[in-house]
Amino acid sequence: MKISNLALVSAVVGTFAAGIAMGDGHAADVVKQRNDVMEALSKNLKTLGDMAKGEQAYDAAVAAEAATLLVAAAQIDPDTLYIEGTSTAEFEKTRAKPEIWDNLEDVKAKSAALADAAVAMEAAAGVDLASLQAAMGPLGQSCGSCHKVYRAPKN
Amino acid sequence: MVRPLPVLALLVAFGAGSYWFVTRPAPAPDMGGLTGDAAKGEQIFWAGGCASCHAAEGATGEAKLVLAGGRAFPSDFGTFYAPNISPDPEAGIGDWSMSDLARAMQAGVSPDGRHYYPAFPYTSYQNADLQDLADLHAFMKTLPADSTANRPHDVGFPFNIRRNLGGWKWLFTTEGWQVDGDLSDIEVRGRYLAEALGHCGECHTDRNGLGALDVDRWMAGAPNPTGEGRIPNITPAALDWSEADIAEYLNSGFTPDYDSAGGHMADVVENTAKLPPEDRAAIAAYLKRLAPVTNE
Repeated sequence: MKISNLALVSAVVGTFAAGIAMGDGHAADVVKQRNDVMEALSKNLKTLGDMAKGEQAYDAAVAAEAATLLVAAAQIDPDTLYIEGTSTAEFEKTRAKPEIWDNLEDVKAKSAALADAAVAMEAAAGVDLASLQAAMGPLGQSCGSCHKVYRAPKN
Repeated sequence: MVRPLPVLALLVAFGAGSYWFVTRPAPAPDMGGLTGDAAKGEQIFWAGGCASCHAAEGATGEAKLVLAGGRAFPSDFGTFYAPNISPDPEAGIGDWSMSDLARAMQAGVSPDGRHYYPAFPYTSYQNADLQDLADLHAFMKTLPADSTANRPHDVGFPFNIRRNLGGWKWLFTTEGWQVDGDLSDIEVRGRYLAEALGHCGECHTDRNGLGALDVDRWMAGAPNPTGEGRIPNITPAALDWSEADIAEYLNSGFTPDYDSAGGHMADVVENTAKLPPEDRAAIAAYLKRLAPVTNE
């Protein structure tokens, strides 16, 4: 479980590094990769969140590792994630609204806020349960601040 | 022999009288000797979700306290624009008394006696405690004034005749609570937060052709007025999350699958995140007491 999680994040981060190096982005790949990033965020958030809710016993080492992987996924450059031509207008398997590309600076600012919240979680997760719990709200709201404007509803 | 003209005149007079009676705006409530506590009022402000509609769209942080209005709300009847409720005495509501605010929120009537459209959720706020509204009034006085003028609603005939809204209220305002019976103190608190202040039912309950809530399907979901997707059924028939899951969702916006809240619900979570944890747990406990309603 831990290994596959690590592998997932490494693969996601690695793909993006490769993408930057080649300087080309095939739109369908970008959609897939963006969904993988969201999946990687979600997986590590589950570890942290289930501890925050008391559904999983708090373990400082496990929490810290999840937070580190979270930071890796959250710090992926939005310039590689949000390539033009990858919105709901072009693809079914995305919920990224076309408005993203009218407000790219705002999207980048919100992406930076997510990275900051993830770094704050990384600092808190290994300390104790109360610190982890306190970092959960701001982290979730950084997700919501983007999703409320730029994500289309399911279906 | 019946003379038609006087009978007709009598009927018209009776009709006009009934219309006048039914559509008359409710008077301002007597606030007694209540005084407002601004610090407590801030909790009411977030629980009531005021900023979600009256602050600028996309506002964050301190900007959420600038209640300049202007945000558009499309509906079947036209587009409503949230008014300025900042303390500016001209453009906003800076000259409103505590009683004016209570009348607006509980009866949906302006200080000069005009009906508000039910886009303003006074049918929920009617159940708010007067003390809480006094506290809210005190808090709102502390917010920054903004001189943005109100944008008139874009509503066509016959919905643009405000007096008719008195008839709407007469027909559709249901007093009391939707969830009744033997409730624990926590569930009663949750009901107050969800039904009165939080006005959850305004979006999560479907409406009839005239925009009145279908209370037989309380919180069973509704079409999204923005036209995107559907607002979910949150009765136990559809929402199987644990109380801890619901409370966490209201704190961070994370679902049990660690997807995150989007759309207008992300705004709601920004508000509920500012409440004490016991209040989020109370809302969760209340939702568990809803009558399960299935969607066919």
